[in-house]
Amino acid sequence: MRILLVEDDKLLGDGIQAGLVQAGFAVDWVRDGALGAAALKTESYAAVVLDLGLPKISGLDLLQNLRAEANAVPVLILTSRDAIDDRIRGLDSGADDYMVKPFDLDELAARLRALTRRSRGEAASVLRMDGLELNPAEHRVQFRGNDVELTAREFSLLHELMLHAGRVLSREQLEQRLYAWGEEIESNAIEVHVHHLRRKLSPELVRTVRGVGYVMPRGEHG
Amino acid sequence: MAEARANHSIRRRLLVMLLLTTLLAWLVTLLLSYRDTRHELEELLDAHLAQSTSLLIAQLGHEVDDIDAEHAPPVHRYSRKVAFQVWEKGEQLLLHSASAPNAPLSSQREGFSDSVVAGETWRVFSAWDDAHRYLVQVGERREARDDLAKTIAEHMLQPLLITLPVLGIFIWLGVARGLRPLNILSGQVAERRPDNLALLETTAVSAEVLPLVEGLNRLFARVRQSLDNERRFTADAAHELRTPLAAIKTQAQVARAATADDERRHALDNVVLGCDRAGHLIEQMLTLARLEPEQISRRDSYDLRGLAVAVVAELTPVAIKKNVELQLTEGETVSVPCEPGLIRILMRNLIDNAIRYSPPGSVVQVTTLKTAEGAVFAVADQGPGIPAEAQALVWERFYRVLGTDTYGSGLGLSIVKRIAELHGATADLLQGDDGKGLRVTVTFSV
Repeated sequence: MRILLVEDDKLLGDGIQAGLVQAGFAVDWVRDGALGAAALKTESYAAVVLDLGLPKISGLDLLQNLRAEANAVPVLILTSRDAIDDRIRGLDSGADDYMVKPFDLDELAARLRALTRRSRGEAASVLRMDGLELNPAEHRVQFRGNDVELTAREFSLLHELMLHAGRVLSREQLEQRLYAWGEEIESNAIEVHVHHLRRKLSPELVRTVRGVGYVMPRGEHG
Repeated sequence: MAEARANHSIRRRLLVMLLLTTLLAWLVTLLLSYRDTRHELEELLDAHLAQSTSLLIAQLGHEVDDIDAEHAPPVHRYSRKVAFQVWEKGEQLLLHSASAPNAPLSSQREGFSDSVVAGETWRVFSAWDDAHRYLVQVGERREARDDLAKTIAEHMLQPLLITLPVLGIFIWLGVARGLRPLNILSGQVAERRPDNLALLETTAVSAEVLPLVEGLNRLFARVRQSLDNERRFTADAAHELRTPLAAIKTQAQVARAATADDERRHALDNVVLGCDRAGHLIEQMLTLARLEPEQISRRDSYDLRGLAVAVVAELTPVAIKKNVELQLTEGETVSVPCEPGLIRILMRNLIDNAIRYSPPGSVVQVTTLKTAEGAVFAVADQGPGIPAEAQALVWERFYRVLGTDTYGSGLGLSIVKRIAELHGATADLLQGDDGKGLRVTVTFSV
């Protein structure tokens, strides 16, 4: 899942990015409101982590513009103001959640997972399909009752495919959701990861739609 | 209670002062009227003496021998203090009253005189009959007159002795009543809770108490303002520490979860950096909080240039590390009355700021000079400068120009401003020397 982080503080931004990558997110990090707005226009993100005190365009303005443009991407605001008024203003401006600094990194990751899950209209946090069980919080995958060891990238790919089961995802779409800016992508990276998934799980689990992309069929395995 | 003691002393002092003034006025009045009375009494009695003498002389013409003065009964107790003598030819005592001595009442033989005969003081009137045959002397004992005067004086003093204590009681009660507004006020102040800094009512207060109430109200306003400042500063400070703390915690959590050594080292380095930042912030906050006017009560003169040399020397390693050239331009000795420790903090903040915001390879120039306005300390850099819209805001606490890569506490210029204010100096932001960068000047009026 790809997250946009808008945070002007160098040390904090660096830490959040590193921490969210550890939690399995792909993170784009920008350091002012204008860059954040530009990124939101060109890319599609699973969620946005937004600091309020930003140069150029403030976090609240960015948020209001975003909602004015009918962009419903889940937004979690980071604030150093814990006065109730500030939180109310943030939520009323269109934020889905907020955290007061200093926050817990694991909690931030958990809240982001919850936000993205809710934005897809799902209630359960663990994804289950055809004997396959994926737990995003624990980063664990079980197939027919057995734990399966996956790399971070394989896990993310499987997660995306399961989230969109039954729909064909193009290679570009998958790359966009799995990789942040500046991350090196081999031209056949997605193919390689799909190959590994088939080998570790079951060959029929992921189907190739020639010239279009990949799909995880819904309800075929018993 | 201090207030009560003060009130009592006012009361007692007023009582004593009013009583003494009354007593003095009374005594002066008494003395003057006593003197008048005494004078009138003398004249009256003298007139009596003269008249008695004339009567005696008138009698003498007929039957001197018939007068039995020796056995005349005293008519009045006062009469024993009056005496007369009739001298034939002025030498032979022809006739005298029972109370008279044998020696002449007075050596003076005409008119009024005072004399002492056998230890008694007499007031005497002497006169001759028309034929100049008999000398008549009528005397009155001084003691009698003194007794009379004393009695009169006693009668005059009596009402004073009675009324003075009564007057004292009235003054005591009156002063207590007069001081009641003060007592009420002290009660109001004493009953206050420490957090109640509401202004006191001024409408129903008497004119004498009004300045005190107004003074108290001004004090309350000042205390409230400084409390508000302190509260705001504490809130701001706590708020400003949140971001560095969040960074430290996040980096620490990243380090804990890191699987690769590089990743862990990077995160741990950032933890240390974050602690340095927070430490710097705390240090600056404490510096600002400690800047009290009392610190510069004692003002000796110090050479600005000498102080600048020391601070430039101290910060040169920082500049070298950032590849910034730190220069102290040629200048003369400029003496300014100041607290050198604070001026060093001011200089360090300005030069440190300049170095922080300078691009590598640029120059930071430090200058001290004398101008018409006074002694000037200036720091110029070739950094990004401060946008016009932010120039008024940078002096505020915790204000930072956003979007710079440089980390600062947001307090440096607030500290500079405060120290300048404490010295009656002014701090100004100007554009850098050739249109770019920033030039900060601090002008001490000499």
